[in-house]
Amino acid sequence: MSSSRSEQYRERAIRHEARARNYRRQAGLLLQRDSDADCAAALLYESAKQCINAVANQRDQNPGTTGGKVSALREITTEVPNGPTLMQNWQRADRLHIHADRGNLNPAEFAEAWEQAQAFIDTMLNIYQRDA
Amino acid sequence: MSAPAMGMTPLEYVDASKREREVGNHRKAAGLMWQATQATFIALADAHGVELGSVDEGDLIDLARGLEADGSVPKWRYRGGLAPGSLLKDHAEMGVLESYQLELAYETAEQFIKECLHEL
Repeated sequence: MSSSRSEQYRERAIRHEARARNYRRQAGLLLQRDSDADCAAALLYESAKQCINAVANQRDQNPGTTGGKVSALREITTEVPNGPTLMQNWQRADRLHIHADRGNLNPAEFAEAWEQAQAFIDTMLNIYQRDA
Repeated sequence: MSAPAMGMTPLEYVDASKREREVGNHRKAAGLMWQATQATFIALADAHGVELGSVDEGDLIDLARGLEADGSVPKWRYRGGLAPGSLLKDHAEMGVLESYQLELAYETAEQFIKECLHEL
């Protein structure tokens, strides 16, 4: 791979990581300051997706569709000791995405999904930092 | 120790789900996989001597938290295991999952169920 192409992946990874952190921060503000759970859920899900983009680009992959991101995540879970848990926590983030559209979660279910989505983001950002 | 009664064992629900998937009844299949998850948590409650009031998701979340509280299992061992089943519940009720999400949810739900039953 040419150095310029590799540099493109690296630069994308950096941008995605920054977005992941910013979206998470903004999601927290929406929830705590504005009590806007639906909007916060949508943004936390986007943070989770940006995490996948960041780690994938570190590995010279640039997944496009969400299905492609999930495929990339499957590969990542084979490389970490807590792979199944990471995937389950992603599925909680996915649930927040559904909730943002349908408003279907009660407070206990929302809190659980929120906490596990945060755990997904924490783990992915740690993977990113480890490999940076 | 009483626990909510369900009609089939966890693995019977898993097999029933697979049969429905094979004929394309994904919302029914998803519902059956959620029931398999519920039945698994009933078995976990019974094995740990914990009374389970209902198989509503809130009670299962509380059970999972309780089972993890003493640190005898890794964090998210049971709370994470609820995740694919609850996504499938969403699909059964609202038809919200894409095919790649369904495939992943069935896979991870079945993996969790079989691992739990193997432990018991």
